[in-house]
Amino acid sequence: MRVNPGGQLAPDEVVGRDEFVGEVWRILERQSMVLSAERRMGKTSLFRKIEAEAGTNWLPLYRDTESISTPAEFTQRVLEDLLPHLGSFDQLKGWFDGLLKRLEGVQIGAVKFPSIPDKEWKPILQQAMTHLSATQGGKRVVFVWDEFPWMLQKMSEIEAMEILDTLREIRQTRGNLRMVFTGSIGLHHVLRGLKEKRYANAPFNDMKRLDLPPLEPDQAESLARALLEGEGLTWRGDTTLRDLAMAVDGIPFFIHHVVDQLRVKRIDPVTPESVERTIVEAFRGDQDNWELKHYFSRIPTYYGEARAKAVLALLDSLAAADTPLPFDQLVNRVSGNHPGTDEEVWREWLDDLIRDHYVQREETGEYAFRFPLIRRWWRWHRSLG
Amino acid sequence: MNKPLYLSHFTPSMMRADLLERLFVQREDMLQRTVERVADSILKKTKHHDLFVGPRGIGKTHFISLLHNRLTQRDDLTKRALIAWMREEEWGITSFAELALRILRTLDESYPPLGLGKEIAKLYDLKPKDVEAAAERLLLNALDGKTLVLLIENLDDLFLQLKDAGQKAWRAFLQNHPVCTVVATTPALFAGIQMQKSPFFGFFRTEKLEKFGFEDAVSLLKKIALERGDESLARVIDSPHGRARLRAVDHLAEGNPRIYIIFAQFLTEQTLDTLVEAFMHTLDELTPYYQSRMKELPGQQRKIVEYLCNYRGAAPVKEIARGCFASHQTCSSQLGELREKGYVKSTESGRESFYELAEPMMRISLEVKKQRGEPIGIFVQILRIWYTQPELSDWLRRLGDGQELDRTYIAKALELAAQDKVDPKVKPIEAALSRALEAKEFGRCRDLLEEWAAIEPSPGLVRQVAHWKVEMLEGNFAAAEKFSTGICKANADVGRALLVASLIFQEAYQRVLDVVGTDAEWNPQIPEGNTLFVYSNRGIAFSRLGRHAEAARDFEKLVAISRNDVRALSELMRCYDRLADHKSAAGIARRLVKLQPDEPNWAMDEMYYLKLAGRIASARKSMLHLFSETYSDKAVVRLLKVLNGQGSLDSIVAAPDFDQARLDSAFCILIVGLAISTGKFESQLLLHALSVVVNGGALSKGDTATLVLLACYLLSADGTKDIDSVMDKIAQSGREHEANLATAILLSVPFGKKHGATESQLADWQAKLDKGFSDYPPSGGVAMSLRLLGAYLEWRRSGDARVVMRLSGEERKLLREMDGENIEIPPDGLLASPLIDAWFLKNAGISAKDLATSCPRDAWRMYEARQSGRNRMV
Repeated sequence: MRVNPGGQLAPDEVVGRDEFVGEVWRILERQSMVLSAERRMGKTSLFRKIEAEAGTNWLPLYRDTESISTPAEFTQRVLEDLLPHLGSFDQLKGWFDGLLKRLEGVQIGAVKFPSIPDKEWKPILQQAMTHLSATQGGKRVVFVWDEFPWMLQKMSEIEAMEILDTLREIRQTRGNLRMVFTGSIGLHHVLRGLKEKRYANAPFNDMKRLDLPPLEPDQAESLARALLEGEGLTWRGDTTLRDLAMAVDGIPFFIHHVVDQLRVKRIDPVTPESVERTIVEAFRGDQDNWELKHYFSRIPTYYGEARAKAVLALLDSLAAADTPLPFDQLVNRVSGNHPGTDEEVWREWLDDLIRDHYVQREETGEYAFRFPLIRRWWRWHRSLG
Repeated sequence: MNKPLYLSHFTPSMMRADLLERLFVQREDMLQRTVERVADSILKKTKHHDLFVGPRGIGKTHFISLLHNRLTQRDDLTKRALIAWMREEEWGITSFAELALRILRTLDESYPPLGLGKEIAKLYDLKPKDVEAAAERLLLNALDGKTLVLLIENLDDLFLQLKDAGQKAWRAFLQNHPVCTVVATTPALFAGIQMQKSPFFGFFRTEKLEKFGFEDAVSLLKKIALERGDESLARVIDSPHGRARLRAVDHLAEGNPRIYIIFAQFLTEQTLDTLVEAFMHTLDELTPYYQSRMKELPGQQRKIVEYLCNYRGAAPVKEIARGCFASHQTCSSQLGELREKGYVKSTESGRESFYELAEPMMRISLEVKKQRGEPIGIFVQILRIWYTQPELSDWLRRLGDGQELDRTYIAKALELAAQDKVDPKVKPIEAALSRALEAKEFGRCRDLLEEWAAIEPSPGLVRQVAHWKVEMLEGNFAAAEKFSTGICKANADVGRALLVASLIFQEAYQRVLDVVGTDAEWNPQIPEGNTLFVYSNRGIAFSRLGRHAEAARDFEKLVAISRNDVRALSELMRCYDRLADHKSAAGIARRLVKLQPDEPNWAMDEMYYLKLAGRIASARKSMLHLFSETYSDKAVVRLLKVLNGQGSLDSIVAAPDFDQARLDSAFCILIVGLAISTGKFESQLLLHALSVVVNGGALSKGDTATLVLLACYLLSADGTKDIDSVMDKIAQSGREHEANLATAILLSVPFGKKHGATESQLADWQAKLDKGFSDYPPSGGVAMSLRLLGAYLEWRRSGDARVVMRLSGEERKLLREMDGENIEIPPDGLLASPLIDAWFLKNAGISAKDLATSCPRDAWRMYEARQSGRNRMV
């Protein structure tokens, strides 16, 4: 297996996710889901694996929605994705043929694609789902909409609210359809924006929330082994693989990067020292190949300019502390420069930081950086010693 | 007759593939890896996306051309892929739909049997909003299960035009249909892939195309010469003379292959006229690009770039700030932004950052445009470097009518040559030599010296000294001696100084004295540096020959001139020691303490010599100074003072930074240390102290482990049963402190004997050690020490000499030491420092009894206070 940081993996190259995939299917048996994951955790590759390994009763339809900017376009893409599978859904096919006769479309080779008028997207989407759901004996369809929050952000607020409500209504009334919303930014950011515009609904409260974690140590070690072997590198020392895997917190993207750099620099055999050197060089490098700066630069985007300073103060304090901090102690450390901020506000921001994978709460309730590697980089980047 | 050779400055894609292959330098491994990754993408479901970053002229197109060539040569790949090579001049694309159309058109040109033309034409009849989906579908149909290999140049330009919407649509296509692998190039990283909110953030595996090193440049120019059939030029390039000239030109090219290509033509063009014309054409094509890049910059940043264009080389921030009338802070932040934008690059040297232009072509382009009508600076400099003054003069004489341009350039180069005091080819060699010496690359050093000899047949002083240095560093002292003899002819003083050093390293001390004489006064006329050199080496010679008084005389003179010379001071101190002048030795030790306060050995020396000089009070003061300097732990220092009768435990407790845990630890370390140094101890107190030290993590210091081990020995001799659990802990930590523990085990025998241990007590000790290490088998030194201890005891018990003879010679030597009578614990660096402290307590004449009698009382008070649960002692 060759290193491929950032690229698209073949389903059989997705290492250590078998249990998680099993969990996804168990959930989908019951309900739809919102899957969150820190960037570069291997979300898209996971869906490719889910797609490839779906049983005979399921039809997963993956769609990256980031380029979609209107509900009509969304509806059109949903229909396009269903088009190759119409043979399995008789009732839907009948309805679709009728739709094509009524609407204009584009003929490419033997296939005609409908062009959805802006004003008709909702009934067309609802009808399509009704006919899809009603088809007996067919497969159960699960729509996987990647970068879903991005699509919502591109739409007008009214459109975003409307599409969220419509999709919820479809899930409520067509019980055998499943949807998976996912994306590299948290849906809570989109929802907060909509709530500021008086959107009072809870469009995901029927969906199971699931977080894609880093790889377990054994799995991360397996990935490191597979990549080193794939690149023809050897290693010295019993703990080298484990050290490599754990130095980057078991995050597949970084494991790929470390092995890639070891290969580029022709370091063979690999040792714990060369792994450590590679990580330090990644921190210092001009090109930020590990894309660590975004953990810092996205703060104003996520939390708004007004809150960014306080959020940075929270993260600085957690990064600087050698042990996890209880809430009171953490707030004491940051409130000096942010007087007048209510305790509840700090709690809310910390909750957001947890949802955005910066922070985690220990079993005892204290707060700490979720990923030691990111904490280490943060300390370096922010010159915290 | 030389072959004509077409070398495109800009579009290697227009050159023959086989020629490109033959001219390929430095990046074979990178290319091979890229081919493998593309093959991986074609043959499997995995899809790689690579982005290569490098400034203009670095060889990006050459790289992509070769990649295309190698991919198309593999049948296994061409059967399963369609390759679309999107040339850099093709942009003008503002949406993903247009990009898809451009890809389709490129495929149509490369694969006419696909018959895409008609289908593409139909797309132009669609409504704009439907084109994207239709083009996508057409592309997927065309691929028909094959992989699309997209080779894209100047991805930054494409992204700029696609804007956010186009980028998102393209990425969505790639995600929705994993049928495409992208290999792209860009002159610099750009926002479209660097910003977290950008769709392609983190999408590409980026790799930098490094600039050419000197050897790469030599290789490229040689290949070009051979391609032209000009073998004599290839030989010149490879000769020391040619390499010396190329080395001097190298800094003008700054590792940019495109400049080397131009330079290659320079070497073979018959007249400068055609070359200048071709070069100006090259610059004409580049200039609009660089001018537009300059326009994109805010005023302050433009000023900085202009400054760096004129500066040539890397400039420190301070200098740039001064040159641009900006504050250091402003300049730093502007440079940071310029670096992000890819205009400049930085190099760290110590704490300082140096900045230079990221693209050397930018400087040349802007410089030439500014000096329109004037001779091109880089050409004049190349002429000056490549030809000698007589060659240039001869050339000038041979010029005929109508060669005015050549005349201008050669005259200018001669003008430059007249201004140069030193041949410009020498400086780069000196710099390279210095780097090679530092890296101890002696083979390279010799090559460089050969280059130097080629341009300057008669060696100057600097080169001869360089030769001498190489031989010395390689350990060829006799050869170095020969060079120093030669140097004597050029500069007697320098030569003699080097000769002396060569002799010192050959341990030919008497010959040193023969060379420099033994007169007290050295010739005061010679340069100061050499005086120091000779005094130092002659002093060493005297010293090694046992002539300590004369040695002291030389070192005294030396330190009178160079007051802070640590090596000379330490030599002088040893001389005084040999002369039994302990008072003077202590005085020098004091100076050393002041010079190097972090070096505890000087303080130990001072204490030692003060004691020998009979100045007990001063020795005591010095000891406290040593403790306060060497122990960062204030609690230990304070406690020591208390134990020396200075202050009380109450004053420690009253200190603002009082910390009971620290004091506990310090207290316990001292209790253990005192027990060892005095041989008197309260076993319960000692056991408690051991427990605190062991459990409190104080074992992180190897010296403490040793201390504890020895204390355990004492306890063992005392018959204390609780020792086992402590032993167990020590054994666990044994691996970390192997050297100290091994020494401690060896020392425990003389130590025990000194304290009257019986044979059976020693046997019991051995059993406890074996038990302690049974669960944590020791390795290395500890294992050897245990084996020696066992052998020693068996030998003492049985008297069988064969037990000893089974050991190696080295081990037998250790065994003899182990068995020695009245063995003093030596002040050896291997020993634990508290042990040394204890040794010095005694040697400094401080009564251990005094300490021992004052200590237990206070110690007991403290111990009892803690036992009764009080945190503070009143």
